[in-house]
Amino acid sequence: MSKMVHTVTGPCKPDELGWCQTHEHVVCDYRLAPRNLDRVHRGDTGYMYLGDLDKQVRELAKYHEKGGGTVVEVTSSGWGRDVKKLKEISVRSGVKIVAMSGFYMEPCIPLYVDETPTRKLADELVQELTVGVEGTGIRAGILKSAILRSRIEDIEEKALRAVCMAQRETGAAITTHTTGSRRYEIPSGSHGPQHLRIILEEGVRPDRLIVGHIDERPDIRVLCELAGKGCYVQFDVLGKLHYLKDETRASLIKTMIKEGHLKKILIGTDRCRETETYPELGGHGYTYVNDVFVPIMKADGISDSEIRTIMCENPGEALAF
Amino acid sequence: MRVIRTVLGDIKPEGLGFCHTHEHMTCDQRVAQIREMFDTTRKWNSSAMILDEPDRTLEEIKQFKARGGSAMVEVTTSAWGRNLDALAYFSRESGVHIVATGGFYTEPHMPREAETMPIPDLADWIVSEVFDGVGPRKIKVGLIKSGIYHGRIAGLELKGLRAVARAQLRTGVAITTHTSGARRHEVRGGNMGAQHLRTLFEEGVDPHRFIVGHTDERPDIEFLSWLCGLGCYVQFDVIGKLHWLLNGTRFELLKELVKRGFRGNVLLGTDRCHKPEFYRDLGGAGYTLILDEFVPMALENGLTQEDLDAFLVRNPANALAIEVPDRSMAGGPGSTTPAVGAGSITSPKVGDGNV
Amino acid sequence: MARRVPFTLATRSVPRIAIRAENTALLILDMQRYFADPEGGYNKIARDRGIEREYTEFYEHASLIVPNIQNLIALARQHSMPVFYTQFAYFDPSEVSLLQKSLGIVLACDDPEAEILPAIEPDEDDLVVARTGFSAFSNPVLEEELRARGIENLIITGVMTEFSVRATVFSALDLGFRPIIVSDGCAGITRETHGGVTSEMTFGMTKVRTTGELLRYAKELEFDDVVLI
Repeated sequence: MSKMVHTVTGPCKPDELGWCQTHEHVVCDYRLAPRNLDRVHRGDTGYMYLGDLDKQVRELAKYHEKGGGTVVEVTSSGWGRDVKKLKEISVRSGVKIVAMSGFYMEPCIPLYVDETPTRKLADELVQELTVGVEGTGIRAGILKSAILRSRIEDIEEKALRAVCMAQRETGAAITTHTTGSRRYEIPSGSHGPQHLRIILEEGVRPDRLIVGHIDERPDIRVLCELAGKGCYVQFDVLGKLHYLKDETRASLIKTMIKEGHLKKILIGTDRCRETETYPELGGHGYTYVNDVFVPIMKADGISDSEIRTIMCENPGEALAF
Repeated sequence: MRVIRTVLGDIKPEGLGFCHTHEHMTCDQRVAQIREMFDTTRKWNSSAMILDEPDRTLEEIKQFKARGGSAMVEVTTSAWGRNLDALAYFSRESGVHIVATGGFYTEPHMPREAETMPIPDLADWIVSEVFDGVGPRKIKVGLIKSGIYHGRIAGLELKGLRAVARAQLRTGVAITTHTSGARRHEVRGGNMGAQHLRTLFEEGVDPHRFIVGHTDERPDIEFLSWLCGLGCYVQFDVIGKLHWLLNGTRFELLKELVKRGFRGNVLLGTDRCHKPEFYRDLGGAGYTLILDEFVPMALENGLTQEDLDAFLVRNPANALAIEVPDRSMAGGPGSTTPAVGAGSITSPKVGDGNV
Repeated sequence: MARRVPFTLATRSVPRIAIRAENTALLILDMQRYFADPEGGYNKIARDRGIEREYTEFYEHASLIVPNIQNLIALARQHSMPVFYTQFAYFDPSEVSLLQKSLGIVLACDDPEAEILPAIEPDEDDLVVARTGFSAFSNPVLEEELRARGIENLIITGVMTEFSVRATVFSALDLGFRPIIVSDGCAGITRETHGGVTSEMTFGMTKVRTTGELLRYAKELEFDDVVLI
């Protein structure tokens, strides 16, 4: 049986995704986090919440108009994943949505995870990927593991091992998160190498790992090494210029292409706040890549065909199982 | 149906008898594979663990039997001199039941492959040693081990522990452990029991299948009680090694454990692994230290025959028993392949066959 | 059989310590010709007295530790950790101690018998501390130099386990440093007492580690700024 990408509206062939951003949020609410280690995170940019269904449909419809085909929605069950709402938004906007199974960082890891053996956790994830989430019949299409601190440890490590077990049984990809505020405490800039070490130990192939948030504190040597081992490398905080200038992102992508890693590059914009997403609040919706980043890439000499590979071919190959 | 898996096949738990749950019969640190961490002057120090004279070992096993012993658990893991063919030979020649061990000893003694093999594959390998057996005679192990050398469970040893935990879930055999004596002062509680439990709980292993070893190197009665309360076995297995603890102190601790209701959690052994403590002409005690000295002294020091029967007969049988489907008992005693008929095998050299 | 020293059965377990390149130094004790070279002064006295067989195991042990000390020096250089050598010798004649006179080992720091073995000879930047007591800290300059560099952890190698090493470890503990005794980087006057001392010394903040283990920890320093041991 050939591999499919599992969206909230059903399976589709990898080449039917179209233009796909592989790290976005559509419905989320950080106030639901069960172990908030700090007060609810509020900065100038507000907290991570997207809940206005009509506005979400509006923004994704714009994305669709500009050529957007699919988004991978990486909100975990610990902070507001709602596959039924995602399905409704998908149908109304015309954009395919891939939902996730797995875990976000410690504050969002449900409390029952502490006492549940890893094997049982894995069984639940497998259920979500193969049958459906919470009896809805809506399947998740990707796994996730996130790390808050500078080292993978404790409950986050347990969660990662459950995700690895589920990966081996289903073939789904594992996408990851490194927390931005801790990126200075990590010599490589992201958890990619740490994640890789553990997934290999658990018998997962490197080409099933998508290393996320690498454009917060990148090191081209580490990126090329990860891609060289088969991992996907995801530039997913485009537009968040306090992390990195977009021009720098473009030159990193250019170098990776030169080094032969074109087929391992993925892109997303990690919209998760209203202030980032709604133009009336100063945000840019889901069309940042099309509107702003593509021209920057082209100015750097990255070709249309290369952009097509990154946005329309790589996602299908990474996600299908 | 409940059985105990010995090197000669499965036996009924009632057939086990007087049993030490932690001994060595063949071992050789010189073949350890990841030895970069060893003290490089150790060989010269001759504190290396080497038992490589099978005739003398068989003699001591026969002595054990003659004095009333019935069974021993041999806890040498592969990659540092386990020899399952030799154990089968010893068992056949002496009539002593021998349970062999899979899994891992401490990091320097782990097989090189453990560094690169993923955990699921390591678990498969351990499971196959329990279900399918090793070598042409398909000798099976009846227990699996996790040995920790450092002050914390981490790195390769943690990886090995996870593989062992997953194999435990699939086979039902108990997990026995080692804490390195050199590190016992860096370990709160005196042994790695609590740290092992953290990972075992995470992996879903039932504490009743867990034997905490070397608890009499640096014991703490409160800590031991806590382990027993969770259902674990605590094993006083360096009996006779008085530089760790006086036997008198052991009696006090055992009496207190019985008083607290934990008679059913205690196991005993003497962990003979160096020639000076093993060969009688070097001052050693063979395998008879418990029978000759410890039991009589225990009875004089306030422990009862009931206590000792629990520690040495009932508890080992409970700890080692596994559930197998009826009518799948692996080859009854003595019924291994024809090539190994009684009396036709010569004493094997350490290093022959196995692993 | 090993001797019983149950002191640490009832003391708190030794906590983890944090090793950083910036807070750790290598200490090489008394690896000078007089003690560490079988052709040196100490063994000559033994030969003159016809009793050199008493010391064959010591000299065997001393030669076995040299490659390990070399490896540790390379490790220290790689991570810019300071290396300190000691000599049992006086810097100035006015310093000659009662101990030196009573042992009959009165050496000036520039005496050939006080010279560090060529196999592990000091670099220009290394500090060589001449002192006249057992403990390396009997010359106050060592503590000064360590504090000035912010050193907290001491990797201790050299001879003899039962004397200078042991005394230095006790002083280090008294002064609040964290000693790491390299079990195969120190040589004892007998195998038995070397083993006894190294196994008895795990109290306070003391760690006993092999060269192989320290090299393993150092690999982690290449990935991260701190190693917890």
